[in-house]
Amino acid sequence: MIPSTFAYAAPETLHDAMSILAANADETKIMAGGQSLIPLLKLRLAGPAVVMDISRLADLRGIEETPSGFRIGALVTHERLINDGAVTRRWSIVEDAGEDLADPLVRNLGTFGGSLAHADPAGDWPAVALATDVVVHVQSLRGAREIPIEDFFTYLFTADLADDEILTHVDLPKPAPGTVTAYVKIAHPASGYAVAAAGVRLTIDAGGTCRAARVALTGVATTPLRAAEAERALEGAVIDDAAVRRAVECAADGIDVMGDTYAPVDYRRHLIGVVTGRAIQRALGRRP
Amino acid sequence: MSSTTAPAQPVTSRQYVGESVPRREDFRFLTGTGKFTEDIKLTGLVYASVVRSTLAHADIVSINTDAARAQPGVVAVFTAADFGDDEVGTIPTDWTLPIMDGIPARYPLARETVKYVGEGVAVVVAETRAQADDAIHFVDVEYVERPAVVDTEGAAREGAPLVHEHYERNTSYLWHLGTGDWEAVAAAADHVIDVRLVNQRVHASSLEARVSLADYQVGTGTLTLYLGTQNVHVVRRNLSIAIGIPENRIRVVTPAVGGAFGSKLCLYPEDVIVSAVSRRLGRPVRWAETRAEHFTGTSGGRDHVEYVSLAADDQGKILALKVTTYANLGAYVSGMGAGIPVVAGMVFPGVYDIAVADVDIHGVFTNTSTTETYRGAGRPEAAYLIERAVDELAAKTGIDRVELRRRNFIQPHQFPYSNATGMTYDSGDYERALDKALDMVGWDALLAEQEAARTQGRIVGLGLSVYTEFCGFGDAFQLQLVGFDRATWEQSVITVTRTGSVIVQVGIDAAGQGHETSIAQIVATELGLDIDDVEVLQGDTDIVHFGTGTFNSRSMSSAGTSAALAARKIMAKATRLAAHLLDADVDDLVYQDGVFTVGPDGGRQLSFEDVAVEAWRGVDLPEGMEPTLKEMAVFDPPAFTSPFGVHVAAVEVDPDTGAITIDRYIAVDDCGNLINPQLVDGQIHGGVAQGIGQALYEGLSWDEDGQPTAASFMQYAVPRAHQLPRLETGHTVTPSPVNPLGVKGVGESGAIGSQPAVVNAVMDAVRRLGVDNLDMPLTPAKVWTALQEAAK
Repeated sequence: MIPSTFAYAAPETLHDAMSILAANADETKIMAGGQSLIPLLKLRLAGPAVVMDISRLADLRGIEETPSGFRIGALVTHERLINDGAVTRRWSIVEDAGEDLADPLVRNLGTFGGSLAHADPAGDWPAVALATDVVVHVQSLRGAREIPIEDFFTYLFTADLADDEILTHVDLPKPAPGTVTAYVKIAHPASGYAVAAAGVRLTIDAGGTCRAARVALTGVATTPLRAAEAERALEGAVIDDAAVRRAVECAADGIDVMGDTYAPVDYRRHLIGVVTGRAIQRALGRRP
Repeated sequence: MSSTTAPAQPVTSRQYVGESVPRREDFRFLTGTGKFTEDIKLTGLVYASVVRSTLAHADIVSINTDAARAQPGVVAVFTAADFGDDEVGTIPTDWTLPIMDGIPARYPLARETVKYVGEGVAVVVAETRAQADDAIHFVDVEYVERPAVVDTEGAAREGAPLVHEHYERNTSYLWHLGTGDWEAVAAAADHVIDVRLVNQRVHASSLEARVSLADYQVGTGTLTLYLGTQNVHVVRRNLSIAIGIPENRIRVVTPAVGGAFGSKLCLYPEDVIVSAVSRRLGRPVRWAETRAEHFTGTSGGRDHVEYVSLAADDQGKILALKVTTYANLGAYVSGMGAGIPVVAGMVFPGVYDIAVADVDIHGVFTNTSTTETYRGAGRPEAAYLIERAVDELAAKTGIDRVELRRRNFIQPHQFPYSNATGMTYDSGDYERALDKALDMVGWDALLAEQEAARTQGRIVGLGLSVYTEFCGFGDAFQLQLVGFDRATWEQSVITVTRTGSVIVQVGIDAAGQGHETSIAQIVATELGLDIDDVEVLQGDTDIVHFGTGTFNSRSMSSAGTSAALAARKIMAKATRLAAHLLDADVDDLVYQDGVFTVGPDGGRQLSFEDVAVEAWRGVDLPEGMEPTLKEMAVFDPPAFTSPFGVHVAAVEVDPDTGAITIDRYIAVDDCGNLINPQLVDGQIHGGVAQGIGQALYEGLSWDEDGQPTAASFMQYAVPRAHQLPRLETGHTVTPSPVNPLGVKGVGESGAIGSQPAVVNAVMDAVRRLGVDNLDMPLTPAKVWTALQEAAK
């Protein structure tokens, strides 16, 4: 299929981009790598009057090491991020997510920032971002905002982004000592999206007690989200088989799980436990 | 051939038949230089987009096209009411069973009622594709909804909503096959097993969807239709009937085709629409299907619900087979749609010598898109049915499933063998193929390995299927009796040019099979020439004057044979002419490497090219010989061929998720003599991929309102490379006695042997855990849920 007619803008500077948005906020769609937007345009599920291509905004393209971690530009491609040794040395979860993230064509064009802003309820990066406590930076002519990732995803394909705001970069912290991470996904055989996936971060002290736990899920509800009960079961516990089992058993508690033809609710609820358990085990396997 | 015209020693060092000659089509397809229908640009081209029914069953109250006509670029908008009966008639079919009470009229654009989601109701024509796609949203169709029925078995029940009211029921036909008294045999048998199987709707999902480009020339009153089809001549015939232009003023051309698999075998509504619109506008009109339209508008395959019973004695000898099938035809009868369930029934007994069969086949209308041939067309359904049932019998009797099969095989000396449902098998040697497959997989060792794995809590299984099928659509008389309305024969014309190069015109239409290569192999071998001297033409009714097309794995057995026979006529004439020119006796000539020599020790010589020059010059010819070196031959197969084979799968089920991994896959197929082993293996690989797709991933369904549940590859899962096992292929060779090449056909075998092998393997894994049945596709959720239920 062919998209319906739209105007195309390709600003050279962030200021120009923000100005275009300010002028046409409600009818403009931002295109970063286009790997989600173009299929939507093609299927006519989206029909914006203006497509604003931000790929020329060079300032949004780099990964910068900062005292507290990494500043990841919104236009950093999937391929660039999952092959960044400095990032993946500290965050195995990023490398894990790259294993099943779409295909080489999409990885070469699709962007980290675009993926977060698109807020696909089955996207991979949202779960990684939730597990790593990133902070999202957005900007408009009205000013800049910082949004903790746990507040960022608000509904199906909806993030806390105003029509005139651009996601510029993301701050990924450095992991605390004793931290291990992992991502495990069960992919839909057709779309490749997560039927259920879990990103896990565990910070474990020398005595084997879990000081901090994040269990982030994607593909299971209207937004990517954290499995609060599983985190509670892990934090403060000595991490042994029983603790892992407790986390698995309660991982889906309190979550309004979505069902569909491929994965009915009961099955997907069960899979939440499976991916949670597997991600925890994979992370634990990385303890020194 | 008479001895007076045959070369004494038709030997050649160029023996291409049996060699894996690289496919000459590869260059164009791998370099993106193949020309498909969408690559054709014509002056004045306009684009058609079809407004489709959003409801499964409804009366059309009104269609308002005013707003659409006012959209930018729109040239015209048509509904059924805009065309007279003489302009757009109903779409003919190629197969109507004699017991059917006619077929429901199917107009290319719906008239009073829509019968499935996706049925065309109007067509918008615009200067660009985008304008046409935009404008269809401005066509306002007012409907009054009617009750719909989408469930194959439910539609056959009394009281179900009627798809076609004038028929008073949804069952279009009940066809009975078989012989003997099931009831009596079953009553006296030691064992009877019953199983209900669903062979779900699947979709061919070709990479290239359908595209149709019509170019009506007002000045000459002639129409050219370009489209990806398996059969230009049948399209021409049916198009002629539908739009009232005589066949001699229609040219149908099929450029490169990006996959067909049976789904591009027949005339579709859009082919008629673009033709009628082009005639009306005097401009070329193209329609190119979207993927979403492909899922709702292009025919799917299978969709049978089957009740199967076997009766056996205490030794496991199968005494009788009973089957009741409900086959979904869709909302209308598509080209070959009505016949497929019946021919499926004709091979329900499979490879087993079963004396008694009692088969009822109900062809049923539903408010869904039509069903049609899809790779295997009836034989996958049959193989799945009998192979699942035989495994059930093995489980019930406790007899080893391999041994049980051996006890029931039709034996080599019984061929030609007529089964209890009316099909004659040409040849077979099932034990040999079975032994080879078991040997390749290491059956006994693998069984022991799996037994050990089970003690560690792993869920593993091993499954096999032994199948036979029928190809080549032979026995015209028998096929006419069941209403088949195509020819069974095939013709080839070979022209040797004055410079000695060779043109072969064949009536088949390849969609990726590599026929330009394999037909050239046959002809080059017969003529003793270099294969590069042989060009194969197909897919254009102005170039090839008759053909029946590519389907039923018939291209080698029918077109391959007629090409070989035409080549032999060429050799006969060339030899006679060479003898005349060399002033020798025909029997004294030796022909080798394209050169005629008098006597075995090399004497006077003439090249094939020299002979061609003289044939065309026409000056020095033997008494009574006409100039030219051009021959036509027809081959009408006297019977079907019966490929067969054995597929084995080893699987593991993830107890946590229900996901299935195929660890080993072995396919031993016997397609008779092999023309090109690499192309044969390619066909097996593709067929197995589609069979595994049906077994594990694919399925098209409709919700209770008749809305399709998949409209893109985001929902409909065809297996990608990483979702398939490494395929280990092997062959036995049992030549077919029904054609001189001894070939049987191989295009569909992979899709026939695979689904039962995979599902039997999974059932082997889970039956011992208490799961007694699973229906395809074996999705993880389904398997996990069944395991949970069984554990309760």
